[in-house]
Amino acid sequence: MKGNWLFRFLFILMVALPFVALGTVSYAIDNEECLECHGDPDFVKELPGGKTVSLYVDGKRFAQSVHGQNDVACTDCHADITELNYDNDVPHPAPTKPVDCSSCHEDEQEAYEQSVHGQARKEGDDEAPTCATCHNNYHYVKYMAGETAAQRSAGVCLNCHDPDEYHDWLPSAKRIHYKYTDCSVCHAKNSPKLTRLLFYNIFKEQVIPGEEVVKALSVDFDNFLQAVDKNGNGKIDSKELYFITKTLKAKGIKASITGEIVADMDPSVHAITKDAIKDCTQCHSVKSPILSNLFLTLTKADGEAENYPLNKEVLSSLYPIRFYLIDATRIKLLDIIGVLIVLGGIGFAGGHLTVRLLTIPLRRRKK
Amino acid sequence: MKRIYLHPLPVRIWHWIHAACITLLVITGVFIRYSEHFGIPLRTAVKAHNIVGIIVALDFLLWFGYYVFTGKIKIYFPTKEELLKQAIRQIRYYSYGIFVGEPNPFHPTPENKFNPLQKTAYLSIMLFLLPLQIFTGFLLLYPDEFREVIEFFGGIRVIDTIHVLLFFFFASFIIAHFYLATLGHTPLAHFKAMITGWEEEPEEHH
Repeated sequence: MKGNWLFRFLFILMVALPFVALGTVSYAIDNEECLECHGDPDFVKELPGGKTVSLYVDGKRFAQSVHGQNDVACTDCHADITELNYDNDVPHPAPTKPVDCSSCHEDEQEAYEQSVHGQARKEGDDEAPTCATCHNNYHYVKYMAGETAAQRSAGVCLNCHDPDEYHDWLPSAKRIHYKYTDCSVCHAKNSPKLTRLLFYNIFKEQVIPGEEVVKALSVDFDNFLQAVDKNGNGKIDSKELYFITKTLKAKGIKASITGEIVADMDPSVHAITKDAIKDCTQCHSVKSPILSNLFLTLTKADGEAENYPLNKEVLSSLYPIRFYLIDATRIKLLDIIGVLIVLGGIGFAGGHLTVRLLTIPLRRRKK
Repeated sequence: MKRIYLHPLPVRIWHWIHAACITLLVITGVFIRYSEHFGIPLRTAVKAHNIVGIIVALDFLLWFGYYVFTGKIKIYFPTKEELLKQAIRQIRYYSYGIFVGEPNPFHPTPENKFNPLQKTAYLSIMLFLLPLQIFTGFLLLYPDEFREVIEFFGGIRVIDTIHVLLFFFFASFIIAHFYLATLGHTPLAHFKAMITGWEEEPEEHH
C-alpha cells in the first residue's frame, strides 16, 4: 500500500509540475484581464476640469509591438499593480506610478544618464526628454532596425531638433548627411556603426519590403544568403548583387540600391552628446572600418531587419549602386583609367621633348 | 622679329586666373579622392575645392561673355579646310617638321590666333568639357537640391564618374599644354606673350 501512495504522489507531482512551473512564469495578472476594461476604445478617465483622457490600449497593436512579441505583461511595466480588487471602483491603485523602463532596460538607462538629455534632467530641467519623449507610442513601440535612418530621425530626433540649424561646419552636402546617416552615428560616439545597402524603389521613394524581395526570389529570410551567395564565400559580391536585382526586375520589382550609415541597435545609441564626431575620415576613407562593416539589409514588416554580409568590393565596383561617399566608394577601374590618362599626357610631353633634344644636331646642321 | 598683339588684357587675366584655379582644382581633387595618402584634412580640401570651383565657374562666364560680346568666339571655330588639310599639315609639323628645323606652317594673327589643332582642342574644352565639368561639379556640390537632375542622369555615381574622368583629363591637359607652350621660337616665348600680350614671330627668310 505504501508503494501505491508514493506512486500516486509522484504521479500527481508529475501532472502538476508543469502547471506549477507555468504558474511561476505566467502573468500574475493576465493582459486579457487588463484589456477587459482598457481594451474598450471609449474607456476614459474624467479630469476635474471636465476634460477626459483616454485609457484605451489597442490589444492587437500591443501584441504586434516589441513588448507584446516578447510576452511582456502589462504589470511588468505597471509594476505597482500587484492585484486586482473588483470590490473597489478602480480595481488597482490609481493613478498608477510612472513606468520605470530601466527595470528591464538597464543598459539603455545607463547610456541615457550619460547623454545630454539625461544630464539636463539631472540638473533639474523638467522638460528634458525621458524615454517616452522619443519612444512616444510606448504601448506600440516597434523594432527600429527596419526603419531607414531618415525615418528614424524623423520619428525621434526631428520632433525637437532642426538639424539645418547646427551643421554648417559640413563643407557641402549638409542635408545628405542627415538623410542617409543616423544622428546617433556621430552624436553617440561609442555606438557600434555599420553600413547597409537597401533595395530601393526610386519612383516611390521607399525601401522595398524584405518580404517582397524574398518572395520574388522564392527563398526565405533564413536561407537568403545561402541562395544568393553563388560562389559560397559567405558574402554577397557585386556580381551576385547584380544578379539579385536582375531577378527582381524579371519579377516586376524595380530595385535600385541605396545605402546608409547607421548605428547598430545597441543601448549605447542613447548616450547622445551635443558635440559629435567631426572627423570626416571615420566614414570618408577607403580604410574606414564603418564602411568595411558592410551589409545588405532586408527590412521586415514588424520593424526588424536582417543583415547579410556584403563583400566590400561592391563599393568600388562598376555596379552603379546609389550610394556614394567621397573617397570611400571610389571605383577602382576609374583610378586605373585615370593613371593611364595622366601617363598619356606625361608620355606625350616627355616623348616629344626627348625627340626634340635628340634632333638638336640635325637642326644645327641645317642652319 | 615681328611683334603681334595677340592676347588682349581681359583674355590674359582670364587665362591666368583659370590656370591657377585649374591647377588648384587638380591638386585639391587629388587630396579629396586619395585623402588617405595625404595629411590634408578632407574637410579643408573639400572646402578649398568648392571655393576654387565656384571661381572657375565665374571665370568661365567672364571668358564666355568676353568672347561672345566681342564676337571673337569665331576664332575658336575651325573651317572645313582647316579641319582637314591644314590640320594634317599641322600634325606633320609637330611630329616631323619641328624636329628637322622646318618653319611652323601656321602664322597667328589677332583675328586667327589658333592653329587648326588648337582650335579643335580649345573649342571642345571651352564649349563642352569645361562646362560639363562645372555642371557635374555643381551637382556634386548640391546633391540633395539637384537630386532629380542627378537621378535623371543615372545617379550620383554616374555624375561622379564623369567628373573624375574629366579631372584626369584636365590633369593630363595641364601637362601637355605646359609642354606645348615651350614650342615657341624660344622655350619661354609663348609664356612671355601670355603675360605681355605681345607674341614675337621670327621673320621668314625668302
